[in-house]
Amino acid sequence: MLYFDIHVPESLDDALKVLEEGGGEVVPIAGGTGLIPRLYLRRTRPRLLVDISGFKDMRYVKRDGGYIRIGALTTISDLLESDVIGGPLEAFVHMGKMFGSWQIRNVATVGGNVATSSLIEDLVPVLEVLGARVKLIGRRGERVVAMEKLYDKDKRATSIRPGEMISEVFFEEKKREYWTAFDKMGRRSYLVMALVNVAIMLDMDPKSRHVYDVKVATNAIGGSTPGRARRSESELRGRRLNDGNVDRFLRAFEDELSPRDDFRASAEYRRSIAKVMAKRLLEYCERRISEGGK
Amino acid sequence: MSKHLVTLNVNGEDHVLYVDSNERLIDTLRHRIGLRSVKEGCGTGDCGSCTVLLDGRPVLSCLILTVQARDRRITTLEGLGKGDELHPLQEAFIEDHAVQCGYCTPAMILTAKALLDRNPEPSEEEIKEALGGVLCRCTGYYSIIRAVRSAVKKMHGVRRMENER
Amino acid sequence: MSDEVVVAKLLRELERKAERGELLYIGESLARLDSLEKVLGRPVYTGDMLPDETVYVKVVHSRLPHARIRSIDVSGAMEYPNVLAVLTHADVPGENISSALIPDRQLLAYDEVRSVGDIVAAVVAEDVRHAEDGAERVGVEYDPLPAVFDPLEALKPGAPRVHEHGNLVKHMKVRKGDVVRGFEEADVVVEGTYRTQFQDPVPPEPMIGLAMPGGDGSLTLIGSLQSPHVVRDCVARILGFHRDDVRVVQAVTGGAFGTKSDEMPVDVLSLAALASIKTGRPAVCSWDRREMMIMETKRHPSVIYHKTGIKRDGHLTAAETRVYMDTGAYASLGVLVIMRATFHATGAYDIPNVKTDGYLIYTNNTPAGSQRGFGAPQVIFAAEAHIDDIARRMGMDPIELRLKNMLRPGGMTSTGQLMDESCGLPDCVDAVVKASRRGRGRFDHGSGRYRRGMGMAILYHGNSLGPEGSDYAVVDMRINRDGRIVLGTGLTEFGTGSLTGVAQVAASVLGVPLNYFSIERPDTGKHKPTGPTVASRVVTIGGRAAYEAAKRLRARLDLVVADVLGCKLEDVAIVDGMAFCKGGERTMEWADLVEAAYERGVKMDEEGRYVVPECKWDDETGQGMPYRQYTFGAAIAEVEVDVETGRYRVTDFYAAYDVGKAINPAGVMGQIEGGTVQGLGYAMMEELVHVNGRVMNPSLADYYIPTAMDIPERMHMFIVEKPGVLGPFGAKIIAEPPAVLPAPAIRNAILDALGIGVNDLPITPEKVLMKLLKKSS
Repeated sequence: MLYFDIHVPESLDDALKVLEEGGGEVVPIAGGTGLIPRLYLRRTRPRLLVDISGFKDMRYVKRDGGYIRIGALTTISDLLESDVIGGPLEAFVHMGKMFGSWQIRNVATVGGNVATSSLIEDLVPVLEVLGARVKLIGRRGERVVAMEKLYDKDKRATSIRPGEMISEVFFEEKKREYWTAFDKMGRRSYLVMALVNVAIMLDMDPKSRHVYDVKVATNAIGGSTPGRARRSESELRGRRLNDGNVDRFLRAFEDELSPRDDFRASAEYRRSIAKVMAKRLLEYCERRISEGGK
Repeated sequence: MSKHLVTLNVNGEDHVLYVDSNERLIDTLRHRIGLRSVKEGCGTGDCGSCTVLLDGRPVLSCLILTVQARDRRITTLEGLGKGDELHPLQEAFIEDHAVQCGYCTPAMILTAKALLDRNPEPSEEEIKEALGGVLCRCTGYYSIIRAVRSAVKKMHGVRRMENER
Repeated sequence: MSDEVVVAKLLRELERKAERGELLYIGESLARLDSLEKVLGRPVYTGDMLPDETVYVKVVHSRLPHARIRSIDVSGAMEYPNVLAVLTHADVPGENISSALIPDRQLLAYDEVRSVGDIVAAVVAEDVRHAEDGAERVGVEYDPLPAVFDPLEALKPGAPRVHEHGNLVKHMKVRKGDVVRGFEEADVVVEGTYRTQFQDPVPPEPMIGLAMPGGDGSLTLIGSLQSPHVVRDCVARILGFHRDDVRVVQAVTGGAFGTKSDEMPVDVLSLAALASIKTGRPAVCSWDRREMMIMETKRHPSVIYHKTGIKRDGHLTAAETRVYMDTGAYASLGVLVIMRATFHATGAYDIPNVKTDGYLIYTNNTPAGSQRGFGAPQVIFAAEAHIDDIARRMGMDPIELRLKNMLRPGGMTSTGQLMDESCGLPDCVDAVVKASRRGRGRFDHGSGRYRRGMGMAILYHGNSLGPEGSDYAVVDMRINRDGRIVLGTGLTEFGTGSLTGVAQVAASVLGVPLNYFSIERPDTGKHKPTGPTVASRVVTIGGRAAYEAAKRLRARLDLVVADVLGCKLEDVAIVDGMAFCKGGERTMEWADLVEAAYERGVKMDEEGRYVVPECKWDDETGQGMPYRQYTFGAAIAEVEVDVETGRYRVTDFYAAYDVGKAINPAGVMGQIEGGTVQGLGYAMMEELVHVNGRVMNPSLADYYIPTAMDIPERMHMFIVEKPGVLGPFGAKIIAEPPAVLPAPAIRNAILDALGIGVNDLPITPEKVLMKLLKKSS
């Protein structure tokens, strides 16, 4: 463990002031599940941490004017226990149950996950397929950035400027029938770093099977692929969900991925299972929509 | 490095301490308050041995800075039984041979307690999922799962007796 | 009821129990002696007893797998606040050697580093953080040397030399019959190559050692370790002390699995001792998980070739096997691991002609050493995978092939040892086959996305040390005047419950409840040398020593009872701490009996000693009797594979072990369950990846052991009891064998489900899927 000071702010304004004055050497800490191991292993050396965990009013999941809003300090357990997260937002449930362990979920926050991110985070692809946006606050005001604009290709949240922090993640609640699903593959069943993550959102007419919208996002897969697979999505969007179109979608998806090859898994394997996962998640969403969400 | 004055409620007792900014909750509990049942197995949040209950929820005390636990309620294994009386989970861990090297035992019992507080009759799958965050290298988990199930039975017996009274 | 009726009833009950004689509590699942303390979180591990004035030691280990050390600059560390000293090879007063058998490893490297785990320096500071900061400031300059990372490459002429004396550490042989003739007699010859990986033992408690100055120049060392006397002798040599000036106490130890019998406890305790001598204060040296995974000894990776001749009727005629084990940069206990591996390499089969060669090889990987199973998991994986490959080639049922060739009473091992009635292998096989889905009806292999398969594996496991060291145990037993029975031994407990088993043997002989016993902390200052605590031998060999001590104490107590109660000696019984005479009307409580014995001046302490009869075998042929008795086991795994992802789960695991006599059945089952899950990790997920000598995943976030969510859904266990000659009441060892069978059983189940054999561990979903895709294209 390294040396750093921790500042317990008196108010949000105080926190933002300290963050701004400190530049890159000052880092906000919420749950700390991502940051503390890196401090312990001396992989990051901040001068000052600003403890934002006390801002209870940044901990919520709510419906608000056609949007679902998740406060940055909402824990993964809060998400799983929320009444709002359910039904078509089932991807959050899938993700939440596979996220770390109960111990981690009780502490890790949505904002922390989105901000520290990394190539292996489970939450990010779910937010991406929901078209989520991130509200950033700083002393000079607030701004909104789309999830996909937040990251560079190594999935570092480089759009967050020094002095800023995430206050909320939100997305529009769809009016038509839709469903979301998520899956993760790792070397064991639980408490595991993903080799591949896939999330899908399908917005489809249950009768005509017309696909109004589809979004698919991956993470952990590495290479230059994390994030949305837009080319593949376009193979399905505006078309009917039938075997031929699904095949085209999956072939495009496989093609669009450029997974990483490392000691944990080969690129070939990551590509193969990502495709199977996407196929199954699509089938799952389709089934749920056809069943009317039952 | 700045010091902070914090109050922690540990096993029902308030402790007021000056702590360093970089002091981890595990170190405060072990070295400052003397609660040695909290065990460090990795320091990086991957093994679960340092589990304590924070406001009744299991968390990893190696991943929490003490400053961040200020004004919270913390339970360690030392705070589980009542006086000389064992908690039904402790009895069951003895009877079902759920203890081997003992290093993960405090974390297992506390996690199981948090589970039973929320869900008094968990399914086998729910027990496994709850315990999934604490690694055990000795038992293969079976005896621990059996012990949690026995504790459920014991606790139901107690509840029934209380209801009948 | 009147008092007389109550006493009469009690006596009848006691007499009924007394009929069990010395077996009084044998076979009872009594609660462990240490479990109450442990559920209260009270046991004192080394890290729980650090005095306030303790100084901390952190090591600097090599960054390169092979290099000459040009210079070590400690000035930056010395100038750092709160740093008290920096230790290098120049500070070692005695022999700078920390290695178990072959003096090939320095405690603090002085000229050369041979693996990334080599310790170059150690920083002593007021607290752990300053020690870490200091360690970051030690500057070491290296000249890289050519390195070798593959054991087969290392044997080639011209390969970089890890040590001057060459890369082959040991060559072991087994020669039985005439393999040339055996292959001529065969109708079919089947060959196969199998590979296994580095497995990390992951003991839950990381390594730690505390040194306390005695004030008179002596030192007390307290640590997480397996064999205190071995550690004492090694540390004394390093310090240049007489061994009586070093006292080693084993603290409560949170898991060991073999690695804490190797160099690691010697390393941390020597460094702590040096720091303590230098500062005059208590000193602790500990390794965090990352350091453990780089520096501790692991399970040897191996490459194993099999060539087997077989008759059309399924009888095996000849086996030729070569086992190559990578011991990393240092031999550690590898020279013994390769012996056990070579002896067991052809599995639990009666094959008339056998030629096995085992090679232990140096590379610049991190060192391998002792780990649960000690060479058996590698060779039994290969042997049992090979048996299924043979069955497939011959179009035979793999269970039938095993039944035809396996060891049974009257059969002969590869070392020419005749099996007697203590061979319970047929019973083990029978138990798992009958219980399995196949035994209960037809096995449904499934279709579509999920396919099912079942796989079997069997083993025999030479008990205790055999050829691996002098095999004896000493157990002291003392009955205090308050009736408490104190048991003291240099044999240790690190999780298995073995010392409870030892006490249970004594309790059964003495006729007193187990909770009358207390066990002293193993302490070289109190207890005589007793051989290392390895090879699962505590209950078997230590239990036998306890039996001897308890027998003698009991004989004296019986005389006292006969005298006080006035009956014939042969009528005396002691049950549940109550003495009485059969057919008599009076009882005597344990406390009164002990008091009466003390009043009569009866000697109330005993030293129990047991020495295993010598094992003999021929160095050139391996023929003879390397082990005096064997544990046998059989397992069946049933798996369900997702053919689109290669993911699989073990739905059912059936395991039967012949343990001779289960002293404490719940304890035995705990070993079977725990060993099975450790073996399941070896089979499915565990792999400490080395790339060019560097450990890629030294973290539990990246090296996976099974969680509660990964275990087989149903575990079916069977205990077979065919008494052996060594242990008390015929007990055989059990801690290690269960870790052996999961890998081959799971591998064979996947072969059964999909027709593909994964020959290199671990069997990851990736390997399954890639083989499936290759097969279908």
